Amino acid sequence: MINVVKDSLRFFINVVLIISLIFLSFLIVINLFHYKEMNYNKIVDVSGANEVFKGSVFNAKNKMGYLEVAGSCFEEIENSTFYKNDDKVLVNYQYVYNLNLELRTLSNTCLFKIKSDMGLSSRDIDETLSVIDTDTSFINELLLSNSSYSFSSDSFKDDIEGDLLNSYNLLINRYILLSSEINHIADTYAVGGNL
Amino acid sequence: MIAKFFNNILITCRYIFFLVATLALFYGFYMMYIASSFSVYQYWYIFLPCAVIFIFYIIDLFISNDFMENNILFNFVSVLSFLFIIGIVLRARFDSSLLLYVKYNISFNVTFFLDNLNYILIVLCILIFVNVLLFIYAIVDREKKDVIATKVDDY
Repeated sequence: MINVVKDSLRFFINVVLIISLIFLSFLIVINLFHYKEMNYNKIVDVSGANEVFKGSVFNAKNKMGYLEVAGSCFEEIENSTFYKNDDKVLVNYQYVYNLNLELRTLSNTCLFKIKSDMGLSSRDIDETLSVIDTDTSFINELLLSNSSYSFSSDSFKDDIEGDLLNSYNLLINRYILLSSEINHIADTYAVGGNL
Repeated sequence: MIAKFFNNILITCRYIFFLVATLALFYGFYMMYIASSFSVYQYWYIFLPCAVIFIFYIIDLFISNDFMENNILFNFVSVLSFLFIIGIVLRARFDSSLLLYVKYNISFNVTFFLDNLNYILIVLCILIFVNVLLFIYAIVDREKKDVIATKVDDY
């Protein structure tokens, strides 16, 4: 009788151990995959976008760089990561997140501050501010949710890479939008026009 | 011979990793306390299974349980469990690609740690369950040996 109890117990213990081994292996493997996916890097050529951005900033600086309120804006732009970019950059989560934060700061320093300090009222500036604010908030939420993980599949992996690159492309567009808006303000200011 | 050697390594690792995993959990809670937007006291229950496992290991040191000590699968699962806990705390501490790490400004991803706390609890509870079963097995085994010993004495 004792033998039967002992053998069944031994069998049950081994079954529980095998199930827990499978569960643990799943948890460890899913974590390793998540780690690999979150450390995804891609080299992207941004020479074209960089040229447009720098060109707009250069033009605007020539026209209104001597103004005190615009001076701090150009100083911040020239110290920003996007301005200092090489032609090819290594895009990863950390980089896109920092770029996004910088764009929010630049948008506040350049558009909002110039608008309020110079007493300008323009629907164009308000719209640009609103677009940049909405998009950077969206990108911020999207990027911050990367700590959670679930069962990984090929389509999920594509989603992660796609989200990251789409966020990056959207950010580049918004940087160019910001520079063209500053350029527009400078053009109008130079001819003494009304925004 | 190789199995015994491998088993001895696993037993040593089991004790060491248990201590490291418990310390890692304490560290995680300390960082949560620093982050201050999280209630540390809400999750105190995670140390309960750690304390129970600690008691089991102490008993195991005094009452030698052959089946537990010779069971490579049990020792391997225990080591893997503690490595999982240590891995989660290390990721929360060092994986800067998880952006909440940057958000809290304390060099520790508290949300990732909290998300995995339930998995850690499940893993520790499984270990307790297996430990209980192993002790029941040891008691049954001892009774059987007593019966055999009594029969031998009778002869």
